Amino acid sequence: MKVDELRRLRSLLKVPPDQLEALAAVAAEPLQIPKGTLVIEPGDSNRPAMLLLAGRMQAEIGAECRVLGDVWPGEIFGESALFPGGGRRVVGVRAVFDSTVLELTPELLTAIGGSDVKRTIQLNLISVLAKRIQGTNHAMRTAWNEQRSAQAAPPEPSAPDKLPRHKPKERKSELSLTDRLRKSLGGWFDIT
Amino acid sequence: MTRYGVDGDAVLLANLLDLGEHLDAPEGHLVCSEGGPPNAVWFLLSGRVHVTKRDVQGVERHLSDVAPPSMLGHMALINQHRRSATCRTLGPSVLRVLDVRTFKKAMNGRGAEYDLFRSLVTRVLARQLAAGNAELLDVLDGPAQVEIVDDEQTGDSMWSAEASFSGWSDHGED
Repeated sequence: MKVDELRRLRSLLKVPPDQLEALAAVAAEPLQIPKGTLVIEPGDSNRPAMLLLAGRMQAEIGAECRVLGDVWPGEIFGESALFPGGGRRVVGVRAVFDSTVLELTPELLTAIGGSDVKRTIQLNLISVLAKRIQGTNHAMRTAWNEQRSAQAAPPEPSAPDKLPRHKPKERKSELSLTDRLRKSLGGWFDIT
Repeated sequence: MTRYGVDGDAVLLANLLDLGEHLDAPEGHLVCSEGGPPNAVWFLLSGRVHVTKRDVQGVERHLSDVAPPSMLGHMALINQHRRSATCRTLGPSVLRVLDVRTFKKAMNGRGAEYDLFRSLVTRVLARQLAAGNAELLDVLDGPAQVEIVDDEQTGDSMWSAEASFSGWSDHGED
């Protein structure tokens, strides 16, 4: 691992100096991902979870690749691989800038064990997952609103011989102020 | 907590839950109200919880019925926002209540039981996100996009999705 990648790893995961070398020894070499690469494909259950060290990723969903949100340096993505029976991946992740990622392999996770680094990763994940749930929620509301708008039928033009094009206003009778008050108050008050 | 893959650490988790208060709730007990403060998280150990939410017209709509073991109310504490739904017990239920102080201690603490607690919360959130994304994909690409013409059907599907996103999915019986 290069020195700057080590520094990023130490900074992002708050790795104590005495543990950094040990982690670096078991960690896979970080991957350089060119801009535009689909790093995780929907349905791909083989890719491990990854930590974004540098660059930017975007989460996409659906045939039209609707953007759900961004992945920033220090955030983990592909997290379903961290859990047994992690579930079907329906979201793709694509690099929007040239990026560097670290695969969270079983060896690395075992090396982390019960250390403070594990705590940092857990808190990282909780924060990120909560943010992504909000993003999905927002995308869902947008999708529903779009569907409702698309289903609203345009108004039919009225037949010209059925409706008058112009309906003349009725002229108001010219009532005195007293008469108008008496009329509006419905006889509740005797206004003389 | 079999569903969340923490079977082997049941003793540790039980020790942590002991930090909270035991609640024997009768039928109809109000667990939390929509719009209420983020002041606790609940672990449903037995019974069932009925989850509702008001729609834009202010009408109470059924979101989901939650079965044990489940965690309730965690999103409000994590995101620091008011409750997104109302929860009432459907029958006599047993819950463990962690107040916000105990929850924060469990989330930030050092030790095996706190590691386990964070793993549990992570797993719950990941499951919730996966369910929400699956529902979203069905809306974007599935048959619902073309075939739905019935507002009532559309509404039910939307509320089902809302349940997933808000964390109130019906996990079913163990």
